[in-house]
This record gives sequence, C-alpha cells and structure tokens, in this order.
Amino acid sequence: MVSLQRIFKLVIKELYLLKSDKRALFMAILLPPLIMAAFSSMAILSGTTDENTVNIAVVNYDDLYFNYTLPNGTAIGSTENSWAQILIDTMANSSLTRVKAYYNINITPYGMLYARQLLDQQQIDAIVSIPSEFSEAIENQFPAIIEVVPDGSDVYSLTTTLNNIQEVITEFQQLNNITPYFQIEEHVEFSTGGGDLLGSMSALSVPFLIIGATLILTLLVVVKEAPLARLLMTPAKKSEILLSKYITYGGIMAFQILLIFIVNSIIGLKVAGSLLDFFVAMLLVGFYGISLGILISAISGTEIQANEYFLGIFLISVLVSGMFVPVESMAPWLQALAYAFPLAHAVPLLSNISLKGLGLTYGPNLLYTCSLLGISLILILLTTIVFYRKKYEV
Amino acid sequence: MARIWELVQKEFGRIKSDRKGLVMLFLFPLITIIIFGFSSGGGYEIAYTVSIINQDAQVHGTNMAQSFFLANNTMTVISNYTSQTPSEFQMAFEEAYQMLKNDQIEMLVIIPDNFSSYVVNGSNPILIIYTDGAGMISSNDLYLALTEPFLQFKLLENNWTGTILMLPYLEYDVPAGWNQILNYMAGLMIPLIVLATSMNVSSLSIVTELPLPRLLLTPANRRDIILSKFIGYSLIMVIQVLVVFLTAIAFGLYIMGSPLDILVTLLFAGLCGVSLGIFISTISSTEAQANQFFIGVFIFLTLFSGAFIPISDMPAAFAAISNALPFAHIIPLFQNIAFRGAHLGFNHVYPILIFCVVLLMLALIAFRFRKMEV
Repeated sequence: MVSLQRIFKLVIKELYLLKSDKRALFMAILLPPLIMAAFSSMAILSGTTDENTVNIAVVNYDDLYFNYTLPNGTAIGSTENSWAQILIDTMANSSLTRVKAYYNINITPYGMLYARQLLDQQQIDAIVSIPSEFSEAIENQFPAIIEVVPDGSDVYSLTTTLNNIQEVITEFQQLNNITPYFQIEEHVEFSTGGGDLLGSMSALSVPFLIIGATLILTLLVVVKEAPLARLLMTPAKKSEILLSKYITYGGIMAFQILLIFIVNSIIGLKVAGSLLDFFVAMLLVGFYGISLGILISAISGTEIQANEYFLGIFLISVLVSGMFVPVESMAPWLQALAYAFPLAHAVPLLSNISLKGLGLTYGPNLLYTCSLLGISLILILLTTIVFYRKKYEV
Repeated sequence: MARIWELVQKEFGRIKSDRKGLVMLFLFPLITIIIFGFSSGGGYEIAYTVSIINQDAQVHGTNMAQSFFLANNTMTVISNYTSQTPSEFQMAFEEAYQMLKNDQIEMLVIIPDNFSSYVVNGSNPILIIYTDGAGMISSNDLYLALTEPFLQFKLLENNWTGTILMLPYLEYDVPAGWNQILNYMAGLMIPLIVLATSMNVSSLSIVTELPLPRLLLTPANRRDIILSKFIGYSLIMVIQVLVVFLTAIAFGLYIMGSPLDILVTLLFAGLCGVSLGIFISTISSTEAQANQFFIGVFIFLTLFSGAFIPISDMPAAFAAISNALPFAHIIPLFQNIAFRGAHLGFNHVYPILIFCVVLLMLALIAFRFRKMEV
C-alpha cells in the first residue's frame, strides 16, 4: 500500500535536498522569468513586423530612345518616361519602400552594375528595374512589366521585400487611376495589433523556455541521488519515491511558470482567450517537461550521460517543433516524431489561446491538450518501468 | 607547454572513462543534424489554404473563384461556397470563419455580389479578404500571395488592361534542385547545434572534476588547468564540427563560397561554445548550477540571436546586447559565405574572437578566486 504520510516525508526530503544547493534552486526559479522579462521587453519595444520599409535601388531604362513598328503596322518611337517618373515618385513617397539610389541608364550606363554592388554590400534589399517600354505600355494599355532583383539570401525578408514592392505598385495604380485594379478590403483577424510582437512571440518563446527550464530542473533528480539505494532499504517504496519526486518538482515547476506568467502579464502580454486557460496550457507544457526530464534522469547512468541525453532531446525537440521548418513539409515519419515532442503541440496551443481566444479544449486545442497530457502520462509510465527495473547497489 | 600537454592527455583520459558518454558526444550532434536534414526534405513552398464565398453568380464572379483554383502554386482552395441570399451568406461565412479560427484555412475570400458589374463597367472590382493574423506569413504577404490568382483571372477574362506585372529574379538564393529549407535554415540551425553541443560538454568540465584540488598540489597551476581544458574540449569540438559539417554536406548543404570558410565559421561557433562552457563551469559549484547556467545562457543566446526578432528591429540597447553575442556574427558570416560566395569577413570574425578571449579571461579570473579544499 502506498502511504500518504511516507510520500509527504519523501517530499520534505526532496525539498531539503533542493535546499542544500540554494544557488541552483534560486537560479531554477529566477532565471526563466528573468530571461522572459528581457525577451518580452525587447518584443514590446521592437518595431512592427508588418510594415518594414524595404530599401531599394531603382534602375530606369525607360528614358532610352527606341523606335520600331508593331506587326499591325503601328510605328512606335518614343522617349516617353513620364509613367516611370511617377512610379519612382510613388516609391520614394511610400512608407513601404525607401529609394536609396536611382540610376537613369541614359545618364549612368553602368547603373545596373552599381545597383548590383549595393545589393552585394547589403545596402539595399532589392533592385527595381523599369524597362524601356514601361510608360508606353501603360499609355497603350498593354501589360506593363517591372523587373525586381531581390536579395534571396534571407527567405523571411524576401517575402516582405516582394510584398512591399507589389503593394507600392498597387498604390501607383490607385493614385493614377490605372484601371482596372483589384481593391482589397482586408480584415486581419486574431492579431494583437500592428506594433505588438509580444503576443505572437510569446507563443514561441514561452514553451521553448518552459521546456528548457523544466528539463534542466529534473534532469539530475534520479541519476544524481546517491542515497537512493539506501533509501530503498527503508519502508519507502519505489512508487512512493517516484511520486514524491513528481510532486516536489511539479510544485517547483508550477511556481516557475507562475513567475513567468506574472512577468509576461506585467510587461503587457494580451491574451485574447482566458488567462486561466493560458496558464493551464503553460502548466501542461511544464508537466511534459518534468515527465521527460525525470525519464532522462532514470535512464542515464551518469550525470554526463543525462546531460547529453538532455541536449540531444532538447535540440531534436526544437528542430521538429515547427518553429523553423513547418511540420507539414516534413516526411510522414518525421511528422510523427514531431508530434511526439511537446513544442509541436505547445506552440499552436498557446498561440490559439492568446491570439484567437480559443478555449483549452475548443476545436484543434482539444487535440493539442490531450496530446500533451497523454504523452506526459506515457512518459511517466515509461519512467516507472525503467525505475522499477533499474538495479541499485548500496 | 609539456605540463599543459600532459593535462590535455589527462582530460582525454577522463572523457574516455565514460565510454557511453563519449559515444553520445559524437552521436547526438550526428542524430540532430540527420533529423534536421530530413526535417527540411521538402521544397520551400508556401501554399495558402483558402476558402471562397462567391456572392456573384455571374460569369466574372465565377471566373474569380475559378482563378483561385487555377493559382495552385500559391493557393490551395479548401472550400468554395456560392451564396445568393443573405441567409446563405451568413451560414457560409460562419462556417468559413470557424475554419479560419480552427487553423483549417489561412485566408477567407469573399467575392461580393457587385463584382461582375464592376468588371463590366471597367472600374475596380472589390474583394473582401479575411486573413489569420496569428499566422505571421499570410497577413504580411497578402499582396504577393494574391498576384497569381489575379493573373489567372486576367488570363481567364483575356483582358490585360491595367496590368502591371512584377517579375522577380532572385539573387543570392538557393538554386533550384538544392534542398531549399535545409539551406535557408542552415545558417541558424547548424551553428546552434555546434554551439550547444560544445558548450554542453565543457560546462561540466571543471565542476564535475573531483580530484581538481589535489591537482593544484602538483606543479600544475590554475592557468595551465584552464588552458588544458580549453585545448582538450576544443579538440573534441573540432571532431564534433567535422561530423556535423560532413553530414550537412551529405544532406545537400549549398555553399557558394569556400567550404573551408564555412568549416572555419562552424569552428568559431564551437570555440564560442567551449569558452562559454568553461566559463559556466568555473562559476558553478555544483552540476545542477552548471546545468541551470547552461540552459539559461543557451535560451538567452537563441532568443537574442535575431532569429525571433531581427536585430535591426530591436531597440538600440537590446541590439547592442545582441551584437555582443556570437550569433549576431556567426549567422551572417555563414549566410554570406554560403549564399553570396563571400570570404571570412573580419568585421564578424573579430567580435567572435573577442567574445572567446574575454570569456576565457573571465574563466581564468573566476577560477583563480575559486576556493577548493582537498
């Protein structure tokens, strides 16, 4: 029979053990909220993500003289460049683009070369090249073409660069009534607002921090405890020892998470859904962390091994989390692996609560919640099996 | 020098004593890089999932809806509703909005009932679009995302009036045929793996060594011990980096510049990890403390690397902190070599080396003042 009194005493023993290294305990409790405070302050003070100004160099070929006859016999000969000038003015006046350099090929024949040098030196994000027939194409209602050479080395800024230029082209059409163009009436749903990065960033940084902090907290609880073998000579059972560890470290984890939650709330995290749901979701992530941490500790023979297991599992967890590579683009077997790790569930769960206001068990969140809880229970079961089979020598 | 060499040999002996740990030392970086290689096996594709509600029963409205189906490079139509009455529209809207809320779609497009009349009159047709603001890509790239369906519409209508087409020619990108995601993510992920593994192993180098106080009774002094640990763990790091580098090459790492420069960049990342690890180990008195420091430093470095919030968007004080940290230099160094064919830029190399030297000196100072009892 499991004795509650014995478990209570074992919990007290665990707390004494923790208290014996006060500095480590202090760091375990204070480091995560401190890091969160620094990151959240940075997120709240940083610029908005959706209106980054793109630096461009414009190379204008539209000022060149040309003369030819169309197949239908129409003669075209022109130095018309008025529309190119209007487009350049639109780009210069728009908040989406900043014209850092302008080259008229008629005056600067090596303008494209100079623009490429600027691109190479990372002084601009893209070159906008206006071809020689641009103004004539608009005048004659032909499709007009603009060539853009963006810096493709950063895939995230690449989409912003192209999107901003496309948006400025639409601005140009609207301002000059080059019809028909599509008018987009845009409604951005589930967003905490233009300048607020904290909401979207919290969904990524909070689970990342919680998993790291809880794994480290519990990593050495079994492997490091030298008197464990002697403890087994007392009436204390393995199940009670394990249970007392889950209770003790679960309590500390809850305290860590409470501090992270308070820090984020003070700094200004807006949660569209229920604060309680957000807190419970954080606890679920933490519960997963301690379940995994104790399992690592149980299967490790030495502290160094535990450390290496931890690092391997933590890095794999981050790699397959979907934060960097979308889970959907992974191979099916790797998607299965991704969903065995916490971050693939934790990130969308927290994001859905904080930005979309979905409840903890509402819609897709039910699956994420059940997965986090279910996998944690499987980990506890595995830990119990390993712990029971592990041989201890006095 | 002879004493330092003997101390380095002693370090190797100590690491060799835990055979399982030694195997994992090289196995885990290998496994992580293999998983990273497989995780990024697909091409870099953005297909927006979309629902359409068409209130316009006439031909132009139908063509607009059809255009989203035809724009299959950027759009995946999940559901398409045709609604003629307010009640039909209300039902369709509620259903589609719920899909947006439940992450089933990223965009809801409403074609209003007057769409065709605008097209016929030659005026500017309106589209109402709801995007998922929680998904960062779709709301930021809306105009770009809609380019293909709009062009498909013009193609269906055979009317190009008012068209201004943007043709992008990417420069310094990963060429077609190469593993796109692996290469775009490599600049962050590979240095991250290298730094973490080298920092992890060296963060326990001093704190777990019980005979260290007795070692100080021999002619070996504290500086020799720190230097020997730095050399010993750096040599292990070199093997780890080689394992990671060769595996990444096997998975199709695209390097426009010199592969040797990339290898040196990864070695710099490893040196930063070893310096950080040894510093952590000197200021920690127990393994638990060293572990707490390790994870704290690692998460801090990652969050402030510029991967979450670009350094250019950070406030000046935070940007200064980020610029003093290694990732602010290792990531651009890696990307410049891999994508632009650049050489090792000293504007990035010097800060990395300064970071390592400062940490090593701090470790020496901390170790000098550390109290040890035999």
